[in-house]
Amino acid sequence: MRILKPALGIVLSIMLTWALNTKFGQLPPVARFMDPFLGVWQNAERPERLMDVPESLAGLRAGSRVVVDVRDVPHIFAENDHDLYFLQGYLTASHRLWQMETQTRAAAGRLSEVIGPSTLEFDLEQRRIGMTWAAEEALEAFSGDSVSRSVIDAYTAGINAYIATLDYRKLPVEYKLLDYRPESWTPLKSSLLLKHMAKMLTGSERDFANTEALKLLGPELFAFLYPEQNRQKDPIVPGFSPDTSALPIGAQAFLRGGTYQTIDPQPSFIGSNNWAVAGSRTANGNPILCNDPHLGLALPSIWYEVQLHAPGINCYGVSLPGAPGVVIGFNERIAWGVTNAGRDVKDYFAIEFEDRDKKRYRYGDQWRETSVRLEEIKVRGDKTVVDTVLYTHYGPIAHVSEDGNHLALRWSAHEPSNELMTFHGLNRAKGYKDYAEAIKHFGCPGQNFVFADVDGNIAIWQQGKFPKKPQGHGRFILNGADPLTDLSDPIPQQHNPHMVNPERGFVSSANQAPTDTLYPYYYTGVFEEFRNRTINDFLRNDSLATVESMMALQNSNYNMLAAEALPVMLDFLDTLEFQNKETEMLAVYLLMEWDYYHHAGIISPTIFQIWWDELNSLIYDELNDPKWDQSEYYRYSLEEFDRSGKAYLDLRDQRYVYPHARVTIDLLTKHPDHPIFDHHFTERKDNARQIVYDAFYWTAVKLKDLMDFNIAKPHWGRYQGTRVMHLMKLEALSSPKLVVGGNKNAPNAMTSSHGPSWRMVVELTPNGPKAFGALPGGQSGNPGSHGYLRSLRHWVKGQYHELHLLKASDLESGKWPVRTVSAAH
Amino acid sequence: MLMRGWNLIARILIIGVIASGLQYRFEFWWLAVITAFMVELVIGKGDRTGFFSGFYGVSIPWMILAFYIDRTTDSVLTYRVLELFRLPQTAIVLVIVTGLIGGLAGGVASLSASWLKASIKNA
Repeated sequence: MRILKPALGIVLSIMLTWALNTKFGQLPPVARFMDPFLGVWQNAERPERLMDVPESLAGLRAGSRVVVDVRDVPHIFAENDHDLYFLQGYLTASHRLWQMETQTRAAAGRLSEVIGPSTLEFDLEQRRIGMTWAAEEALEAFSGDSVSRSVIDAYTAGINAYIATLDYRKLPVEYKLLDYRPESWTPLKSSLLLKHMAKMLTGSERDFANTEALKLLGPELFAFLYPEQNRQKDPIVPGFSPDTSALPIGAQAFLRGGTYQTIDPQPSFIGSNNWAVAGSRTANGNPILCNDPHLGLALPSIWYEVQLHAPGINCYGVSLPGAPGVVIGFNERIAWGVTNAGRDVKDYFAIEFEDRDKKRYRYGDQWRETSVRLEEIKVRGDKTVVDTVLYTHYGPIAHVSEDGNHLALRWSAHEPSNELMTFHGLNRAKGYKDYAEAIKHFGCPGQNFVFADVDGNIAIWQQGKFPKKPQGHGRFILNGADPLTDLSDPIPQQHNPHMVNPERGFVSSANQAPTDTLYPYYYTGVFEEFRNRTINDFLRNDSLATVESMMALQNSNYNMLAAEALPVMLDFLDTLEFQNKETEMLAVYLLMEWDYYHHAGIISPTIFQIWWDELNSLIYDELNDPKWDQSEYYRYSLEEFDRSGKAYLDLRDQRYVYPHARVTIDLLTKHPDHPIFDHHFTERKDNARQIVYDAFYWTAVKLKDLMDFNIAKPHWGRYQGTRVMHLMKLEALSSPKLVVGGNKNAPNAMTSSHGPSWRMVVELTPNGPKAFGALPGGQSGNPGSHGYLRSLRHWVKGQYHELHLLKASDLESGKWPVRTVSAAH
Repeated sequence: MLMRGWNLIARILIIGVIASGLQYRFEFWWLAVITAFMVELVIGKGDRTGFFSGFYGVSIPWMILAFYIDRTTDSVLTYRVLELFRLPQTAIVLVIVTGLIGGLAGGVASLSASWLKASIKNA
């Protein structure tokens, strides 16, 4: 009896201690996490704290110097390339290790290892589209070149040197929260990161959506609603027409395949702007280059600012944490930037197997062998899953339809190329020749590389490996058994659209089609048609461009879609027919006095956006999910409205995308009696006039709800509700809701989740570059650092920081805090 | 009675100092639990104060350090962790929660040690 009580006590104590040391579901190991000597408290940093630079480092070959400026940007001064990339790896990891590891884990389909069964579906998809296979192929290409191999090895060693310094106390917050430890970095991880970006930027595939829409609508209506991209209006390179030899012909859509419910062709939010203005059109006579890549707004920030200085290189810009070098930036002589090409570089081939063993598949009149790659997915707290991925000569079987049809994916990201050498070359480039040489290494994702140099040259190249295709190829799922569809011959690099020192004095891109109809090669993709024209109009009119006017253009909220669509929509309204006179008159008034700028503090853009969205879901009701029948339609959408504060609910069937805004505007103006306007669930015969008013009626109802119930303030900035979310989607680690203007069709291309992930303006003066930039976040990836959101409030206001490209002589001036790092032995 | 009070304070102090030192030096929070157990076993009275020596011995240094970190860092992370656990947005709440977690683990350990000590003494 006397023994029982203490024994019970000890058992209880051990069990309690164990429980407080163990992760349960979402809950971290509570005591370990909260212990202020070791846990999350230790990640809180004092306001003045900047990055730690070690006094000595094993692995360096010579002494180096690092200036950490007031915004926590490391300016690395090394004696050789090895030390430069070693320190880039080390210092980037000290700010961003968890982000670097998580993005590469996601790319490899290994999230479930640390998260658990909830990410298994995602991991399986990553394995089936061959992400790791692609990264391995690319790594082989990196390794085949002694320069890129040594760069990636030095960078890897630097990251691992940092990981070796970590004890539990210093682990990033997220590791403590999810209760695991970082693993060693490998060159494969850097390669995976580049594939992660490639996947993010080549999502402009419509193969499934087009195939489904063609089946639903028939060829005639499909061709009308989804025309081949209009290539007339302000392409990137007008009039580009290289001489070509015979082009391939003949490929048909393959319509037999099954239904692919699981593929949601998300409307594209990803876009970017870049442009360069020649000295002849700037106030100071110096060329100015600008770039703002729009990506998912995320914390830690996608980009990491850094200066790299060593013999033969001195450049500043933003890097991708996990990849060596600077991706967007400038050096003493040139500046460069990128936007996404948006061309379709993913093709799907329906595969016909010989039998259920799937060992051979038909190719013309022969059978070809499949190969097998076993994908082992470890799942935290559950059994390991082994997935068998079959490979054809096209690529992996990425999707299997519900009725058993197999689709192989051919994707330009699968082909080995050495993107690292592009950045290696650009970082060191002295002029146009070096730039043009450097970008040749870039295969995927296709990018528009804009360029300017201090001698006054400007240029733009759309660079990537794009296959030569016959008309229509790649718009639909293709027949993998037909060798005629099997085209992988690339367009010669010299035939990629480009323009050097054009007469108009500027080059620009904003994800629009790269060429007009003079370009002999066929391509398809998802292209912008409004933002590009706003930018080009501005550049054509601004003959005395300054850094300030360029900043204003980057922050312009002008929505050309609204400018073209709204007057047409308003014309259809008849105030005598209004049913809710008061609200509807107010809405009309607010829209008529609007100048089409999506400023944060006004209501008109909100009304336009709701109206436009409603209009699309009413015109294209053929493409809506059948569950939204007439009676349920608005009841559902108002419920949703209560919950999210958003007045618009996406009614689209996930398999389809609505036609392009250009088509909608043409329908309204030129075909107001087109049968597409007729509602398929009413007796009434509708035309554009009725549908436009129906949409307006519901817009007014929702506007009234917004104002009466104050669910969300109807001001555009609040309604849009842009927020920079943490990678884990935890609100606690994210930014507050921001009140910002902009719209996806405006140069300031903002949505609730996407926006300018970096804004940069560089003027190349003879005395060195004058550069400005801002991140929607900060350098440090630590939510416990005051640097985590350091630049965010400047970014919200459209303000910029000066970016300092230091020279070796600046380090002697005493103005900069220089820290020396010696090589430890 | 007075002596017993002084003894408790002494044990709290000893646990606090040793546990803090161990956690500072090594990266295991449960060294604080072992400290509470051992100190109570060696110099504890085996009486009803057993829980409090470990409770305060662990929770007081945890709260002092948490409070200090919160102040010197302008609560930069405190509010985020409060939101994570859906706690009220008041910094001191997290300091107290921190103290309660450490205190509970330490207190149960010292209590079981004092039970063990009592059973040894009575044997």
